[in-house]
Amino acid sequence: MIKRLRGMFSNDLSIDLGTANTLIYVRDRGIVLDEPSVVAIRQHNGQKIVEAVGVEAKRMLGRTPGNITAIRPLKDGVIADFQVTEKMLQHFIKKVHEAAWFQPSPRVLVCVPCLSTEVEKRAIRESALGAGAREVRLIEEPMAAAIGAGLNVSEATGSMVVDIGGGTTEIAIISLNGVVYSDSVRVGGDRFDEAIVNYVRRNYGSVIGEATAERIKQEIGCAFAGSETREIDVRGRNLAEGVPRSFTLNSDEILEALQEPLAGIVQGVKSALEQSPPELASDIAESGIVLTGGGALLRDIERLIAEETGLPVIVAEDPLTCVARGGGKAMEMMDGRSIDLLSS
Amino acid sequence: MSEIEGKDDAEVAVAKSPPGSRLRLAREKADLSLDNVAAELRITKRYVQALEGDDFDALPSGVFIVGYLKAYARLLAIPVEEVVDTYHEYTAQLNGDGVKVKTVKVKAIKENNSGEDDLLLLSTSSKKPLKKGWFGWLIAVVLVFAIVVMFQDDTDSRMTSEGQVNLGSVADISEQEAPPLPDSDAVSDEISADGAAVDEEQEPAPASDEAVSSQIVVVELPAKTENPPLDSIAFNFSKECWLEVIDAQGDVLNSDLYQPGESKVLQGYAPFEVLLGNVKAVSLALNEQAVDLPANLGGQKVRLRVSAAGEIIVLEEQVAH
Repeated sequence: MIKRLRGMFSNDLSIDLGTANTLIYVRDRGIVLDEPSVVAIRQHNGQKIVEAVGVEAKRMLGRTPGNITAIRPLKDGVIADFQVTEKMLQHFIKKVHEAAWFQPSPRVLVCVPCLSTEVEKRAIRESALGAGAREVRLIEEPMAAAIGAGLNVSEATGSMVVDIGGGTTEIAIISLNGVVYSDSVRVGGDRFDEAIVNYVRRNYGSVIGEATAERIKQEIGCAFAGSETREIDVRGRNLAEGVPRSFTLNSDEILEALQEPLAGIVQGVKSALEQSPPELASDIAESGIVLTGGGALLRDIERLIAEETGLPVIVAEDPLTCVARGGGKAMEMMDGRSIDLLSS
Repeated sequence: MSEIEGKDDAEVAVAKSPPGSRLRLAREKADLSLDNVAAELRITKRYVQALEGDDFDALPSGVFIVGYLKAYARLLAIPVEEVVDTYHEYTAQLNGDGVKVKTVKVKAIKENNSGEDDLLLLSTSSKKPLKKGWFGWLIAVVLVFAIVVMFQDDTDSRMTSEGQVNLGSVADISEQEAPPLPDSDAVSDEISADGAAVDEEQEPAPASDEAVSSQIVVVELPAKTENPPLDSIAFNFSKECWLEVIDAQGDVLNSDLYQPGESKVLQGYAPFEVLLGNVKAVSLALNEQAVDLPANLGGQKVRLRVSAAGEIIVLEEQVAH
């Protein structure tokens, strides 16, 4: 009863609980929160105290003293640390309701990877409830991504969405408000970063942090040869000498570094096309594939997939927020017409 | 080079028109056929024609159109953002007109809306929060009203109970002159009239116990005048004894050790749960009336329940070693 009353003063939230970033969309207000899914925890007399969450905690990543650990509670799109995820969600939900008088108790729609198990779904549901949600609904990520990208999911036309997130790449074929085929490849932005770190260690004998690798990827990373070559200056610790050294990387090298994870994504897309029913495959061939998620921001990734598949590939507008926005729209659709878009 | 010049020409020529004609001009300047473009963009020739003819109904949903336009513009080396912007402006115009008709049909809210870009968004979003906020405020007002009403009720009842106290104290003053028997009845009548949670089964005190009760009353009176609805229970100790008393509300009234010759009077709501460390050393009185402890108690430590009527139930009996 009290929860319901409190709910009247809270908003409906759509949460994209991602490996790399958590986004919250509120109806009529748009994206209200976009922060890294990182929590810094201080060990104090055997007790765990949350030191910082989000942007602040990310700044601590890899720079913490012994008693503080900055961790990412989600791995490969699913919850790896239940308690910390709950704390993080609690913090974010409170942050969204900063001006509220009461403790918020919103209805929450959370996007889950399409191949997540019942246990993983339950973990997400429980941690959202533990964070103060009144009601939790789950939606499959590619569905939300498709709605957020502006695809007409209710039509009897097949459309293919590739959502390249931080931990996973979700590939799905959608028709008539349902997921016809879906696959989840455990390759995403994190694997790109890892590949860059490994490449630099192998070829320059230097170690760079994940944050540096991410910066390299964002600034000069590209997925397809033939576009202009860019360069970046990087500092890393030289393994042989043990002192920090500066060196220059160019986009061709990064392309080489990213070959393996990119091949994983392309392979996933191809096998999805192979598995799709012929009618839907012809629809997809005619209109094309839509890319969403942070990975879609990698330069020329659409050209790579277009080249490999021979289909038109389109990057959705504002791909980072597609899932969260789509979740919000899905909620409205469900309220309005009681369409079942839920995964469970 | 010629491409760039051509682009400038096209820009001047089609400043505000939909993007199709600009794309077609640029394509012709670049000397590309429809088939070439279709192959490059990996879309059908029909779609390329639709793009150039601004026939967006023939194309898939909006996201695809934007994607095709972007790819096409990139292929022809004309600024991508400009093409996309002109497309957005064009569709907004179309939608704006359509929505205007709709809103006018439903309600003539705003008459001077000159085909705003996101009229639909504006009209719906300005309505919704208003409705929600209004509802929230209504509930808040109702809540505040309810709390005020409850508070008033509370103060009213408190005032009447205070009146009761005064009456009781008046009666108690008279008690010192008059015999205690009718007076205690008067007090209990008062209480039962009030309807409070008090037992009405108070027995008239037997005259034979007057000596004991009068001794107790001296100690008890001031406390009793303060809290008329409470029951009192009194203990006299002839030997050292531990005493613990819990009343009907679960309040621990007393928990202490007493020496021979001491007495203790407690106020609370019957029935009392009494723990006596040495049952043989205690004499008990409830509401100024002596209550006989069961004689057949073998143990030393006894847990009793003393009901409002003065009945004693032995809950637990323990023989000391």
